[in-house]
Amino acid sequence: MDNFIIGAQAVLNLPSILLIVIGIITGIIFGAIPGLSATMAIALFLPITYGLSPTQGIVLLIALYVGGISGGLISAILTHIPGTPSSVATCFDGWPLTQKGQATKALGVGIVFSFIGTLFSTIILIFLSPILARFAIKFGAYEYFALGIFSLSMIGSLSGKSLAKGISSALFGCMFATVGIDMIGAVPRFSFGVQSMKMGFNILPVMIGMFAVAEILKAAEESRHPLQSETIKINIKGIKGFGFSWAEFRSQWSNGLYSSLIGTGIGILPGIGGGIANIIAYSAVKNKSKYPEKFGSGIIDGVVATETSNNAAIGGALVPLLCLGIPGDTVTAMLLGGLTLHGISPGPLMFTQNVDIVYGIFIALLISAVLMLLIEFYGLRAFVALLKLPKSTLLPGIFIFCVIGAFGVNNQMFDVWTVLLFGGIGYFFNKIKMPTAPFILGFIIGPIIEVNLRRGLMFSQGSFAPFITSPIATVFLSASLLSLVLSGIKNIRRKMDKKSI
Amino acid sequence: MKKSIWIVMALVLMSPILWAAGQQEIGNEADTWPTKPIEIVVPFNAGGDTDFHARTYAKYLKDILGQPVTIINVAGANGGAGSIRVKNAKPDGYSALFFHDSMLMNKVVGVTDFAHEALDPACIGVHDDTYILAVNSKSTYMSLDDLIQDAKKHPGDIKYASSIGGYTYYVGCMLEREANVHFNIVDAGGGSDRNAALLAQKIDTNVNPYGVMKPFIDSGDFRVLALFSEKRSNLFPTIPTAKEQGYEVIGSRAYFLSFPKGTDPKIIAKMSSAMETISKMPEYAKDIELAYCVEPGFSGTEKTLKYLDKTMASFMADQDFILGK
Repeated sequence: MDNFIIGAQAVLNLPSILLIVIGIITGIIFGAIPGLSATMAIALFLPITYGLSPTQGIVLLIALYVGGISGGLISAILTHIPGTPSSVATCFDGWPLTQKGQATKALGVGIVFSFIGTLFSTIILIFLSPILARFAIKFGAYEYFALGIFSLSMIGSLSGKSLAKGISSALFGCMFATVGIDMIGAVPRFSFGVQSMKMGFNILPVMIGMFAVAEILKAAEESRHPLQSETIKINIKGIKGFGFSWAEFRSQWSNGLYSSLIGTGIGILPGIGGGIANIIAYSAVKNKSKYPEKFGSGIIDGVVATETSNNAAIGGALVPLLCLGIPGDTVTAMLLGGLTLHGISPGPLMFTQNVDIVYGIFIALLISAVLMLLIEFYGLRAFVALLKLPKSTLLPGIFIFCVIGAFGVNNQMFDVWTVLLFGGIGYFFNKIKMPTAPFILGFIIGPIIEVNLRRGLMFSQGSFAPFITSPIATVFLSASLLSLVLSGIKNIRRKMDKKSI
Repeated sequence: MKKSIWIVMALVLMSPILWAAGQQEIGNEADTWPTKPIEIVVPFNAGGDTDFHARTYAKYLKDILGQPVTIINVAGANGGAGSIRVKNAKPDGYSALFFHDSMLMNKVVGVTDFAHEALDPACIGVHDDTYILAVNSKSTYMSLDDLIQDAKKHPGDIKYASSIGGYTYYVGCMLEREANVHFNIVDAGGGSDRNAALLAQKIDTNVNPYGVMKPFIDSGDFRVLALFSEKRSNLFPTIPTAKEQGYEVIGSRAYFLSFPKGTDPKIIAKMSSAMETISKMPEYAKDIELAYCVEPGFSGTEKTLKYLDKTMASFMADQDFILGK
């Protein structure tokens, strides 16, 4: 308890609170605008924190993080374009809900469950982090490989009707991820001698291209047919509270808990974060659901799964950072830098030497979560009003931000061309009804599988045995096998049912 | 006809004035530099050691040069992306690159096709001579010799973590050569990934600058067996050097600032002298000690060029070695 008081003293002062408010609002804006992301917000504000005191700096960054991750749901739901990579899967059910006239409900659900996800992982962070951190480091090359395989086995539930197309899409994702300099041997691949190709494709421009630009191209095409592109009618006047009922909330309780666990777990593992968490949580919730066929048609379960998990990943990513000084994702890597510059080295002694910072972070997380809830609640009507903007104004505006965001990743035009290239690929995928989610999954997970397979083999001097003898790896590999077998059985059952009708 | 002749004559007479005005500007440029903010490119993401050292200098440069110095992070290709950007920038003294020995290593392994010879190095901001070899405290190795003896008994077994083609890989190869042993050199990711791997005892030993492993050394999770330097550090004097223990392996990282080729030498000299002043400030020494357990170590333009040429020569001599052939 004393620690909380120390943390509170560090954070509960006017400048810090003000910084948190600024952080949340700015974070939400960055998160909501496709092209700008939480990572970018933190990268931009990091230098500013160097001039602030350590606690002030870190609470600002935490607020940006929470706001940034949660803001992604706004554009995902309202425009079918994810605001950040962590909200890719929110589009799947969020947009259909908007199309059915239930945008407010979708937003309300997303906001409340973002809050719940943050809260859940923060509580885990506060009470269980040391144990979890020590567990997380047991994940070495063999274990990450197995986890990667398990993640890919989720393709089944992301493929829609055609598993073959889903697998092809994922493989294309893996293929495009190989472009660039190989992480282990430093050998250039598919660079065609061009310097910028040696850097490979960055996930943010790829995602912006496949989801944002492809969507914009689709809208441009549809605008020729006035019947197809009516502005969606929203009834703002009848909105009570968050737009959904208490009964609906209760029905989502187990989904929320499940997704929070998944999100926190994925966040804890260094190297994987919210970008993957939302896709995996979506598949997992769909798999365990009593009505999986409804996913994608616009049910709140889909939004609950994604938004709870991506926010839960925040607390998760802070576990290895605070306990061991090992960043859980790109954002926490920058937080690490921010702390180091202030002379604080996160590591095993942080809980004893820098109690004020650690507990200050906990309190900042809790305050940020509450503020996020309040600000988005009051902003709900404003967000929905954005829908009234004609697409011809909104989408080009989004496109401009996408280009800015893409360029901002690494300050090179190559990323802008990447956006256009993948915009074309995404548009093409949509035309041939090839699902795009598996592509993103393959793009992110493919390198994880490859690098860890190679590292593992280096460790074992060429032997595959340790991949199976490691207990954690065995669990995940068996789970993938099980998942494939089960979806195979479901597939056969469905075909048999069809025949018997 | 007459009117147009007057116009043409007027323009012809004006041109020397414009040309002269331009000349004057160029003549004064180096003397008035800097007249606008300077941009230093750090070729890695924010938060790392290169970023830290650059930002620490930038903080103090503002007061000495009178203009803000902004750091921009251009990550990619192990520093290649940022290097290329500055290489192609205008040599007007307002873009510079803050990088280290990996710039040379990049050329040796083929990540880029150029090194410091394509730029105008100004100075070395700080030498990090704190490369250490550490093991998990639970291991039975009490000295570097213990490790080497075990490696001799089990050739190819001891897992030495490094990024292939990176500097620590080179240090590992030098140690193997010096001690006549064979490790199992494995890729275990970057600095913090390797800390995790050593903590979980998935690797047997790790080499990195002291600062990267400091939290675990302080907590007692890691035991440091040797320091790869000429002499012991003043900041952690209890750690013996590898040289003392009979294995002469020296590792060092020099963080240096470079301008695009063709930058006015006066500008380079001004920047170099500004950074030299900072390196002597006690506040600066405290900053880098606190964050990375490093002592100030500045080298001027001449010495920097000599160091870089010498380092490049030794990397190139060992090129096959480095590429794992």
